[in-house]
Amino acid sequence: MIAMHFLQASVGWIRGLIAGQLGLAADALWVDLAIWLISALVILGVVQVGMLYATWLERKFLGRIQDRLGPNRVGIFGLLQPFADMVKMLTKEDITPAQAHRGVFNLGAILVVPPAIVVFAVVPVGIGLIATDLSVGFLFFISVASTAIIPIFMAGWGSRNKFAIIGAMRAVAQIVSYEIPQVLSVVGVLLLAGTLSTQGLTLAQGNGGAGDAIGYPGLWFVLIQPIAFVIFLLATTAEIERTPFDIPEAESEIIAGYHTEYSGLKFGLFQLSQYFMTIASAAMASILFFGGWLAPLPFLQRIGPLDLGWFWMGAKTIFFVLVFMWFRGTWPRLRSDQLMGFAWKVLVPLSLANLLMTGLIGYVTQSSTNLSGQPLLILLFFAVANALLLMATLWLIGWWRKNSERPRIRFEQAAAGELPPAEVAA
Amino acid sequence: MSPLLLQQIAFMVLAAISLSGAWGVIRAHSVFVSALWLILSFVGVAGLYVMLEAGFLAVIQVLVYVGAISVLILFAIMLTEDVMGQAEPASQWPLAVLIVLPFFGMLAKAAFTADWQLSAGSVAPPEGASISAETAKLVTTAIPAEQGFRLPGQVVMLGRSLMTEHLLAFEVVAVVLLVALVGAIVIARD
Repeated sequence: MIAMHFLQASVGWIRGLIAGQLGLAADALWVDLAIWLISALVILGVVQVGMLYATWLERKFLGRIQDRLGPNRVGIFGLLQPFADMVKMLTKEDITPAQAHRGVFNLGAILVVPPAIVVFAVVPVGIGLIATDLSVGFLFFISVASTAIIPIFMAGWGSRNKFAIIGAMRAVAQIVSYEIPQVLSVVGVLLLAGTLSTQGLTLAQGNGGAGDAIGYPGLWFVLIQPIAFVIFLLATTAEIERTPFDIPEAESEIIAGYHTEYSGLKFGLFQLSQYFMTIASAAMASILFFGGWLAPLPFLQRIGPLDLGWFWMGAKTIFFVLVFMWFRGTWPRLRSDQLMGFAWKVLVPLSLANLLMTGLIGYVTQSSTNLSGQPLLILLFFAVANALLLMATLWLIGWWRKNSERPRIRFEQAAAGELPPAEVAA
Repeated sequence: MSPLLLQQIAFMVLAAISLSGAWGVIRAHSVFVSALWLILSFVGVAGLYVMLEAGFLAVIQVLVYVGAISVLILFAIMLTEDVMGQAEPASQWPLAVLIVLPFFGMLAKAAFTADWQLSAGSVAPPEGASISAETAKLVTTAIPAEQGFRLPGQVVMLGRSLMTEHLLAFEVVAVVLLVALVGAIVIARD
């Protein structure tokens, strides 16, 4: 509580400082604008440095997974490598294909970045430390992230390149399909938290504040909603087009997909937005399922008057960024039809079943007076239900695999004597 | 600069965005570029919803129209070879004007004859801003503008009215969507 007062006081102090510099009252409109500008600049700065070192981290981490060292020549541990890459990217020749639609081609590269930055407006890093606490925060995140398809489409169409168009088509089919399990899996969490605000979702997992009122105090949603968490993580990996779901850019099939024709800085913008979205999605996974800026144990939340929310939020975000990189290092890429089948035949039904289960148990536990405010009992309820759901799913998948016949290849058909003799002879 | 003036400027900018998007749709030389202009228009409309304190509606507008419907349009254009090339700029504009004019007339009549009541929230000024006495009387009980967007009740109220007043419509829509889905699968399987 002391830390909270301290924080609010410090925000008030910044407000007063700005107002004093501008010679205005502390609640004047210009002060609000200045605060917004400052939060925007802070987001830009933090996210950009984060992105630079995410590339370094990815190369190091993948290197270790593949028994290599990764970059280690520029600076200690290769720490200056991102800057060397940046200089390289900036000095490369900027090529626009002769057949390309100039306006759409260039706009596609430019517009791919803003959605990936804007989503950070609803990422909280502590009490009062959020650029804008929208009442529809989570929906805001989803809707802004979903607009990122349009620049991809523009890039694919504007390039006038077959590979680019195929890549764009694949990207759109994939993103539109995986948006559904991504949102459906989170609906269970939203039901339990009773809010769409990202700050509210974080607080609902705390053991002080709003969590008490809702009846699930001190439980991270990953404990109550483990299946939803796995669905969300997989669907998000597909949304941000990272391996094993990076079919839009599968270099062994279609060169680089929708950004085949981009070079230099414009290619850099695509990379930039992808890393931004990776960081944002990692942050969203930790907000929704791992308590956001809440410490794992209450006494770790603060040192003296210093609130450590930013530290926990950062640590969890980096953890999930590493999980995405781990996926990339260890899983092979899926085939395009397998990918769509996985979304529609496995993830969507499973997230619907999970939603039904959550709704039922949530209704029972919240309406019964004996159960509300007993986290362990609620946890037990959900654990049993989740285990049952998981077993049912595995059984269904096994049954389906046993009963669905794989189309046999020619060799097998010939061995079974199913081919007409003429074809066997040929 | 008063907040009221800022709001007017914001409205003008958003209206300009929507209208220039709409103008681009009819003037673009290729159907694909037309569709892109349409998206700009959708974004402008979402901004207008934000100004009307309908944050939820604005977010849904972006999610559904920008993120889904326009993508569907783009997809359809890319899959249809005939319209992928350079199309003629709209040559049927007299016919289009003939069709659109009655609708425009209806809208204009509604706009000029409606009883516009200043609703709570949208014009509430913070302390010290000067407004006319008449407006001040209207907004004394209003919610401060900066809180309007954050009202937790917005989504709750929407959900409640969907599940009580409009339950039948809600269920019917769900059934219609299901039928459309099944129909799409049947067509795709043929």
